[in-house]
Amino acid sequence: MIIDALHAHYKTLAEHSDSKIPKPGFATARVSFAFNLSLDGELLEVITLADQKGKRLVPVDMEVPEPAKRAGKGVTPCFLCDNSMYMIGDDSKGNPNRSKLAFETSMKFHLQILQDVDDDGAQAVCHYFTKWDPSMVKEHPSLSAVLEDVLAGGNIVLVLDGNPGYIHDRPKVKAAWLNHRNRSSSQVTGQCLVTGEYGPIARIHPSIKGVRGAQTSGAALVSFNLDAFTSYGKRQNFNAPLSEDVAFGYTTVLNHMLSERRQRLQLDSSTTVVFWSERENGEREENLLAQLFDLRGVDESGESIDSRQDSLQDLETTRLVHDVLDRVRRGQQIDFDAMHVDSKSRFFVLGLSPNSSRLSVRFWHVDTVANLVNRVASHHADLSIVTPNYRKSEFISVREILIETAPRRDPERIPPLLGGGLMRAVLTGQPYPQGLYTAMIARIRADREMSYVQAAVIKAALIRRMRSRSQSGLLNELDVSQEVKLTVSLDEKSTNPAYRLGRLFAVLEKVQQEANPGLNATIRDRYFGAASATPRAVFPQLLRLVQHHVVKAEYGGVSDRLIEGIVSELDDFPSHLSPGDQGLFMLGYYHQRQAFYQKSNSKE
Amino acid sequence: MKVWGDYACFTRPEMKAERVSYDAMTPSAARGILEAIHWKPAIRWVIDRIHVLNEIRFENLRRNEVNSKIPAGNIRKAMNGTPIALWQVASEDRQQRATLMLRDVAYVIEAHFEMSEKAEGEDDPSKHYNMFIRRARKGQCFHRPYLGCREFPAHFELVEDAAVEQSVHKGERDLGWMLLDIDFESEMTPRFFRAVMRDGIIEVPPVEVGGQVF
Repeated sequence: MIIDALHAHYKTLAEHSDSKIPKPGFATARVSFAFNLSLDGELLEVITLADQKGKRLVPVDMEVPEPAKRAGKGVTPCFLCDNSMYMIGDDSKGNPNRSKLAFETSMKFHLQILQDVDDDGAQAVCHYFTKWDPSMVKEHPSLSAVLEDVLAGGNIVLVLDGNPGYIHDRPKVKAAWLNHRNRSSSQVTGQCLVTGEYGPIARIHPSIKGVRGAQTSGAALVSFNLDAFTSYGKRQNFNAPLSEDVAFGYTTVLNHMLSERRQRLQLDSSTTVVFWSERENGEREENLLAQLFDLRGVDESGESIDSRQDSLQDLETTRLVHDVLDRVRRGQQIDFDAMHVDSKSRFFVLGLSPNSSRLSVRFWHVDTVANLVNRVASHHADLSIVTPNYRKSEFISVREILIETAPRRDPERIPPLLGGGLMRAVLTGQPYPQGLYTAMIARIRADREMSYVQAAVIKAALIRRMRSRSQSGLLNELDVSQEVKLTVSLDEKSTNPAYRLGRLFAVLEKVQQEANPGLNATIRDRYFGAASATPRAVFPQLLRLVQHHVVKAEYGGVSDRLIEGIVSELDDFPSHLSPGDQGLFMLGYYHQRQAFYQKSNSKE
Repeated sequence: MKVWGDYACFTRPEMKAERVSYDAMTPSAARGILEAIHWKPAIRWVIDRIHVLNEIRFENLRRNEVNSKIPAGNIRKAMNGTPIALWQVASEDRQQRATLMLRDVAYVIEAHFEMSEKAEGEDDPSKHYNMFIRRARKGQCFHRPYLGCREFPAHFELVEDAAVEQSVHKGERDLGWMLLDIDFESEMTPRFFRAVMRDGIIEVPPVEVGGQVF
């Protein structure tokens, strides 16, 4: 299904007349230099195509004949677009024999394809290769100015003097290249497992570049690079028969989406997500869902809060997204037609993870745009909780959730499989991975403070679990002891003991702070963990101590009455709180504290 | 035959290194389950229909596995007497592989068997049929049936009455090209078919084995 969908997307893009996706036999490559050749193959000058951005030379992207896949110590030339080792026989790596061999192989390769082609550009290339001597590199006048840069790396293409465009774009050269490619295509035929047709089967698929964490020379989605992965004595990609067309199609479109930042999202350092719509002009749908996964804030004036320059999300879509989320929260229907979005078209989301030279599929999801938007919106609705003032935007992106599970918010320390599990839960509407909930609880206990995102995630996880439990009638291990209506802000009428205990703890802390201003360590630092897990051991003592604070504090009387109000509905202090109840404790704590801040703000 | 289990992975051939499961059971996996319960060279199982009962849910998992296989040639040499090292040191040969597998699966397999070329005089269909029914009722098997990979064991139960459990799936859903089976007689060629699930039921076309259609 996955490769099937990718291939279909390739075909959709390729048929669209002004898409930039390469046709079969060609690929997008990064090119730094162009050699200007005369009609008889003399190197006239070197043109630097790369832009100078600060200290670096940034290469330009262009469509060139498909480069060969290079692996290991072998020498494989590419057609009309290659680095200095193959084009001039020298590079900065200091291995002259290898460079010489590379150049000679490249020469034979080009002569083989272009020798009989009746075209000035083709003949110029042949003359260039036969005349050029690698030892001339250091003395050649045209090279001397840029020699260092050329040798350092970067692809070189060829231009015919006096003719516009590149030699590899000339029609007869292109035809010769495609001819060569057809002749050297695989001899093995079989049934392609994507199209079902019989035809030549690809032995090796082009590599996929751009997945963060994978090796830079490219990784493979379909790969059998070790014995243990092969079956029935078949070697390499014959283990999974795919026709050459399909192999080209799916890898090209995947590379295209990965390099176009519009259709990709980095979840955490090991998960890259690409997504696309089945429609030909699917940009609206793609932008909408891109925004939904990775939200930016919008302040009152409607201006985007996010000042990052690399933010590719346009303001109009941002406002659309906020409108959608507002509607879902209020229980209204989303009006897709008003947004000019085709809600019934299908949408695909693919999560990839690197494993050195291979890519593994983290998750794969296909659904209509309408369903996806509704699911993501309900995810945000589940997450919504009273927002503290310091926070600019109430919306939380998936990345933020993941970062909050890591110690010291270090992105490298996010628990590995959580990103995929979270995305899957968001896309399918199923309960969040249990690891997410327990990671949050563990973080809060370790850090002894709770952030907005952590509170929101706990609420969302509990809500979803209760919803699925009531739907399927199953008991789960978290064992939330009583049915609780989880609200966005403080619910004073809730009788759930864990929730009330959390509130009580917040009040006790506040009283202590009022009584002793400027205190370094409050009861939160000393007792939070114990109070949330074993209330009976902690609360009696805390309540005894609080009386001293009440006497000293400014609004002691008010707090005292609040304490009475909370405790009066409690039957007993439970000896243990289950993990589910610990989450409720923390919610109660958070809600109560936020209520204090709102009150103190309204007083001012 | 109803089979169910906590986990299943019907690995797609194109994604074997980092396993990704098909959405539903493949006919070859179904055949494997039936063969685990009863099989003799005289019979050949043919799958007719697969009912998918539960919702399709995926889960991801990472495991440390080994890199290589012990070459078959080495084993043959050892059998012939050459002293050859036949071990694999797992800790030096590590490879981490991820698996995208199915969760909480339940299927009903509809199948029949046919006599193969190796059937001899005493072998007749009713004998094998009775053997199968007896074994299935008792829960007997040669090895534990599994859902795609050996580490995902299957529970099985013979469905005696005609009424089959309702699936949660309604309507038509195209599952793409799925592996039908491997043609063992002509160079292990894989055969594929277009799987369409209608109200949770996948119709399985006949397999072509070595030129013969079953």
